[in-house]
Amino acid sequence: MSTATKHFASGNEAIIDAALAAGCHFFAGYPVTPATEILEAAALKFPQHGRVMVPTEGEIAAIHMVAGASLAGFRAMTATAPLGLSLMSEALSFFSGMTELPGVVVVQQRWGPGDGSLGPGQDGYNQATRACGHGDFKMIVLAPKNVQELVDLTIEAFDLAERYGLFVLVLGDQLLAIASEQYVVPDPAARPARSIEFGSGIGLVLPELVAVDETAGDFAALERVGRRWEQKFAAIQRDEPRAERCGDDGNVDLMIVAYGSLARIAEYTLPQLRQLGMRVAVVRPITLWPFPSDAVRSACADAESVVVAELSMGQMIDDVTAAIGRRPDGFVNWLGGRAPSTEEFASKVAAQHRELGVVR
Amino acid sequence: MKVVAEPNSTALAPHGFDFCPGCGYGSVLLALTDVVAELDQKPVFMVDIGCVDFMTAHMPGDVIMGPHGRTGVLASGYKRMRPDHLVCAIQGDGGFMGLGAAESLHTAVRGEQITIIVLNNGVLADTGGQLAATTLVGKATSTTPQGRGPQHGPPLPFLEMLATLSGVAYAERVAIDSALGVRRVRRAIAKAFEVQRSGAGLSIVEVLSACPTHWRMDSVQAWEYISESVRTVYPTGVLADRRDTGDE
Repeated sequence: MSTATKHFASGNEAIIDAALAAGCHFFAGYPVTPATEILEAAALKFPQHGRVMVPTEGEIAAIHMVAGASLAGFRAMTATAPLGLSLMSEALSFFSGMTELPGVVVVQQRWGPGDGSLGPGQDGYNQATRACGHGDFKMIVLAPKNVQELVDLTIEAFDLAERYGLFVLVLGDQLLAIASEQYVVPDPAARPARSIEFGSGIGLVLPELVAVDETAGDFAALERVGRRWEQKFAAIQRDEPRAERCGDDGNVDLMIVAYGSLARIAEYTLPQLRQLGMRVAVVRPITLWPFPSDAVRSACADAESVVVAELSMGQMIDDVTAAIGRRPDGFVNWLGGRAPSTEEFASKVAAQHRELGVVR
Repeated sequence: MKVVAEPNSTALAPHGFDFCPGCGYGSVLLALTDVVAELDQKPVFMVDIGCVDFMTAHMPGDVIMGPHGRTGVLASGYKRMRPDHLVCAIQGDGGFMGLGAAESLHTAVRGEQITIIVLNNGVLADTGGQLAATTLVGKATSTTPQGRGPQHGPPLPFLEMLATLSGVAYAERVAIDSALGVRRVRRAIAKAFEVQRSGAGLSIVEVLSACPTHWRMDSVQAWEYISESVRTVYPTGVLADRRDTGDE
């Protein structure tokens, strides 16, 4: 019998319902707009379910505690904004990149460098997908477009993290954080407890680190580790890219590439654009790393023009360029923490459409 | 000459020691290994970056290396989920009192049920002997070639600050400037684990340890420097003991 439950709440609150269903036992975090309510929901609900929640003195402590809880064999998470992710970067390099611990970080984007804006942004794209933090490593980045997907992808993030031994970032934004919608939280599936290795006499985590005879210039052991990581990331790039097409009836002049909340706005816009006589569709990357290059390439192959839409000066556009083998024909964006209405989105795309002279 | 301690060969295998001649860290490692051998439960270890990370290969238990200065919070996260395990973070003064000072402070505020062993050699040794929070006034380092002056502030009495916090159940500073000092290190570490098991709060052992390489001294001079100079700024002894009284 299914015990899936229906809820109506904000994206930030939904994340914690998802985390509980996923069997997450540990949450540590520090408040930052627009992710603060995630922390507050965890503070309320984790103890009710016998889980552990620690409000820390900052993001640095939070991510280290999450790593410690993960090392102890438990599903663990934190939530933050891109500026908090900056502070967590060193730890993610160590624990996701080097020691391959599983973990989940929800990142609700607000726009801007520095303190920036409190409104939605998508300028955390490069930070997330290029693996914030030093060194050769990658993290899986999932980009939901609505609250239900935020729930589903948060749950899946824990599975992916354990499957590959890395941290998975769920990259949302301020709109997704505050939007209140109905969502279903699936059955808290009976998940096999992770085998607890650390503390049972395994010795060193990543023994290759100390096996290196640096004085002899022998880095072969570490190169073997590097090659193993390389294969892991290659496997993820092969098996995990995900994208979705919306409104593509096989007869498309202009393909919009967008992700997250902005993709949702783009999708809502399609009927208006159709009424204006434009044959438009949306292709939406769901995994930002690995970027779904094949799906984007094939979606754009038959369209006369490709327009990328972002809440940034243009970050995902580089991945689209690499995927389709040329610079996209158009780019529409919004800055300052401002997201467009569907009318505004439609008129900007229509202007691009005219400018590009898209005719069939 | 009287033999005061036999080296524990299991602690040395399979890797050779990376410590400089005269470094006190090896002595701390041997003391720790001795203490752990007498426990009925093996602790897990979180080792910081710095010269302490040369201890990683020799730890008498499972061990992970953590980012510089933050092994205390890493250990705390582990302990929160595994309260039945003995958890020990090993840090240098640079990580514990410098880069990770905020995290160390709040680990103490929360009274995390872990043991932290801090090896204080008064210098950022692993990177080549730069100014640390603990460098004595006047002491020359590679980033204070004229010596630590007023513009650098005085050495940080971090353990004294932490000892005022109710979350700190046990805080002791010991020095390796004699054979007796090594024994005191062993005793302090044993006590710290005992405190951790009692659930009283955070236990910290700070060890004043020689760094002849970066102090530009021989081993004998380095021990004398600890006895005559370092211990006047960083007095040894029990700074906090709240095992019975609870919150003072």
